[in-house]
Amino acid sequence: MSRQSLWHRFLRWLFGLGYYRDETATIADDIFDHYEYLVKHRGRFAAFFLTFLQIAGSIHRLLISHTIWRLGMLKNSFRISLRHLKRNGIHTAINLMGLSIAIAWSVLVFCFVRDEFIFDKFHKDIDRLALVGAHDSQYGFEFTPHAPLGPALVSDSPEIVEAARLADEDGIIKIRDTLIQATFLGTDPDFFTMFTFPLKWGTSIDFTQRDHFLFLSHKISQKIFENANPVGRTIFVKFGNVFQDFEIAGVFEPLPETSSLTFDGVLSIDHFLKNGVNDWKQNVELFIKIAPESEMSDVVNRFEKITKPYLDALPRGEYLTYQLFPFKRYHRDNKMLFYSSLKPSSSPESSWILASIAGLILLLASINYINLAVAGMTYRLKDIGLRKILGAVRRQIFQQLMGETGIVLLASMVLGIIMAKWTLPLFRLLTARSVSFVSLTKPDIWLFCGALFVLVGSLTAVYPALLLSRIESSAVMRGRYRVTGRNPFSRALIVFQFAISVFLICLTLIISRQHHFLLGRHFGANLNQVMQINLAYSVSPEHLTQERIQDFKKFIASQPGVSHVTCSSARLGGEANVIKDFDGHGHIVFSSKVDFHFFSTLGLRIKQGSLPEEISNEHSLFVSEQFARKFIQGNPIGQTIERVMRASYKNIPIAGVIEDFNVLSLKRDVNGQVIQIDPDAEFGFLYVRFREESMPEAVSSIKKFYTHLWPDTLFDSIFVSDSVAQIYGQESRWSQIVRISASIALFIACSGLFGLTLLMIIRRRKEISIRRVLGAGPLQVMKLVQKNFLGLVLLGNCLACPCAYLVMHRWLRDFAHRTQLSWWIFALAAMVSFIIAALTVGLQSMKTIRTNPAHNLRIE
Amino acid sequence: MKTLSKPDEILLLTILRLDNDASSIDIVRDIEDRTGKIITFGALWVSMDILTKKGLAAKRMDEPGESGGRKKIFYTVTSEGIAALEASRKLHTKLWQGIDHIIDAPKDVS
Repeated sequence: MSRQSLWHRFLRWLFGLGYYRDETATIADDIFDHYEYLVKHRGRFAAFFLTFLQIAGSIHRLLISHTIWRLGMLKNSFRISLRHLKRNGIHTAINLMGLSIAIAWSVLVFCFVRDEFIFDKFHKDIDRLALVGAHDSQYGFEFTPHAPLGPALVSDSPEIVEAARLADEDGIIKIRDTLIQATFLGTDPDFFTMFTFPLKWGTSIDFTQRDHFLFLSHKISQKIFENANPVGRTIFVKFGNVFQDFEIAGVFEPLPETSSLTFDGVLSIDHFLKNGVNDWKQNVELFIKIAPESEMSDVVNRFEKITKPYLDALPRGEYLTYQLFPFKRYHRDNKMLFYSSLKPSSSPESSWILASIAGLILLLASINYINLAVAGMTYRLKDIGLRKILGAVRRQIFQQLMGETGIVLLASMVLGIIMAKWTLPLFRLLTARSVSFVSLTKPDIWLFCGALFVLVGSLTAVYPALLLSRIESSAVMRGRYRVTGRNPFSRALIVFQFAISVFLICLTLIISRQHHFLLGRHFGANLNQVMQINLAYSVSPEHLTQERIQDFKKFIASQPGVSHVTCSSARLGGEANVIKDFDGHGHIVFSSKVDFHFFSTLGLRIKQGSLPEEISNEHSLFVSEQFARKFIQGNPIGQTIERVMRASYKNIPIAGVIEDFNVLSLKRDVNGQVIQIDPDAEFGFLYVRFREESMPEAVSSIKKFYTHLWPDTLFDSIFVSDSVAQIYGQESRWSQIVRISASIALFIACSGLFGLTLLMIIRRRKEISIRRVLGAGPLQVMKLVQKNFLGLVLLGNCLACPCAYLVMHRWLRDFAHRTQLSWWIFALAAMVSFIIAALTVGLQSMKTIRTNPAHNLRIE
Repeated sequence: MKTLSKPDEILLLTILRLDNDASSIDIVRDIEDRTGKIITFGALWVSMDILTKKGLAAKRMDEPGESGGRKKIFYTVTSEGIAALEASRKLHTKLWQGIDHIIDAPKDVS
């Protein structure tokens, strides 16, 4: 062979890329031979030109032909794949189900995490916005900055160009006879240029110029005016105790769900700051915008220095500092909550937990695929062997098998996205977050799906495809190829699957036990019949006279559906008070003043001392057991505690000890309760215990009397059980999320086991039938089948329980009151997994065992 | 039988003319000499591949040694190919019958 030029070699390589490599590569040789011929006859220039045409034309034709051939092959292998998937309908269904559930969950988690990252990012100037906080180093607490700071900064320092103070207050809108409660945001005119909340109707005029201008949110405008444009109309809104009329200046576009700032209406801050906006004694939330040329980090660093002169002018100014926090980080920074009443920020942990659950479930579904593909190998031996004999090379079979996985994966992706869309409302409920679904027109979801496809595809497809394409045709045809069921790799995978399932079951059990434990630590009595009526916040002080409250109470007591009613000065659980212990240290305890019927209404048991109805001393104290343990030495009865009574300190004797009760979160340790019986105290809350049978009528008549007593106010009531449940919303949500994911995991693991049993039984059908013929009973055969899998489940349990113990031990450490991690929880989880696995295997094998063995033996 | 397309017909006829055993280079050069049309080697290979699959032509790989020290593909027309050419010619004559008074028959082709 003559020495080939580089060009020649390159062309040979290029043409050899197609099918029939050998033949197409000769085209390059032909072209070169022809080139030399052309040079001789036509001259160098023409030869060069003609050869160029030759190369380009050849490539063009070969490319078309190659593509057509490829498509033909693709069609072919697609047909083979579909045929195989159809023949193994059950396994395809198991894989599709598992993968699509896993993908649906992943897509939902993706939506959740994406929302976390794009939170507040819709503001055009998000990088230049920041929240101002104040810190008191003497007492060590955080507070919102002083009201005049914002305007002062804008006029004095060149870095800060705009400032908006925010004060939110609930108002009541009156339309004809209905009252609507809404949250209003008082702010400065800069609000409109700082934040990106576009207006649907109206213009963002400077509302400080004219009084009583109001902007409504889209939601509220819809509620009141439906689709009409309300600009210029007047509505009545009550802040405090008087209705004022406001002119509607504009309506916002619907608020993005990823906004930390939420409001129903916006108006000038003048309405909310009673002492005027220029009083340094008032504090209010403050956002600033820095100049476009300034660097945010630079301003943050120098902010203390910039604001020093203002603080120096204040009393105790040397202890105070102002700090700046970029708004960009607001959603994921819990620290900023001190300075702002915006939507609570999220914890990054929730994203991590959700993502890892999604990962686990994806892993389980992938394992199913691998296991079923490997175990199902026996039935494809002939198929693949024959194809190899007919000339298929390993690469082609590998590609076809990969394509098969691709089809399944693609189908489950489509199913998964549909499923995710379907279950989104459920997911929103679970996470208590307004997660927005990804729009399919945006690239991020496609990127995510592509990444998922590659990840899951490489996880599931490569190993089985490698294993199957390695099959040698000669061995298969001579019947020498044996696939034993004892592939250690797939056995390890089953163990892993069950370990994950059991781990999640343990988590579910422990979390829900802790949840119930916390709920159970509140009153023993059933609180779903006790209603709290809040007068202190909904009725203005001048209308809330004690005579009216007593009238109201008398009316409620006279209702047939009511069994008890009591008044209290504070919410259940009391107000925080500082009490000095024997060493003189201050501790926070919760105290309230109540009337005589408090204990009977709430069903509190008195552990020590006498019932309040019987005591002669009206102003007697009751303390909770916890309080008594912590602050009182010896017998608490008769000892005195210093309390404020009618603006003076008095020592009041303890009359009794009640059982512990608490409606505040028990995550943190609390110091207990002090309850003072004082019929003449200033009450603001009523607690009503209803008889079960006539509750709805009683509630409606109470409501009617309430509106008669206090017209134009909202009846603010909640059942105590609901308010307790609200406190533990977070725990109950997590317990539900983990429970659902545990059931999904167990379901996927079991469906995999189901498929494997099916395969194993088909393989061993002959053996089982012979055993039956020779006299083995159904139980013995069952034992034989079960033995194969239950050992693996047991091993999975052994792995999972210690892990679950360690993880939950750490989790429980965060709670002041916690349940015990007893052994039976793990035993229960093991039992559940065992029984479900045994049932799955058993039901499948029963079918074979019960058929006539003669029938099975005749098949061959 | 399907009628041959013009390019296929040209290819098959050229192979026959070249003693029914022609390499790609021979075919390309002969066609260029005779008709002035330039066929690329890629197009030739693709067309001949299709014709081979149809059974109208056959190809053989000439191993190196006697012919210039490299692999070469040689094409031949099979008996089916010849039958197809015959059918094509018949069709041609039939189609041209009675047209002579409008379009004169060519006198000299070369």
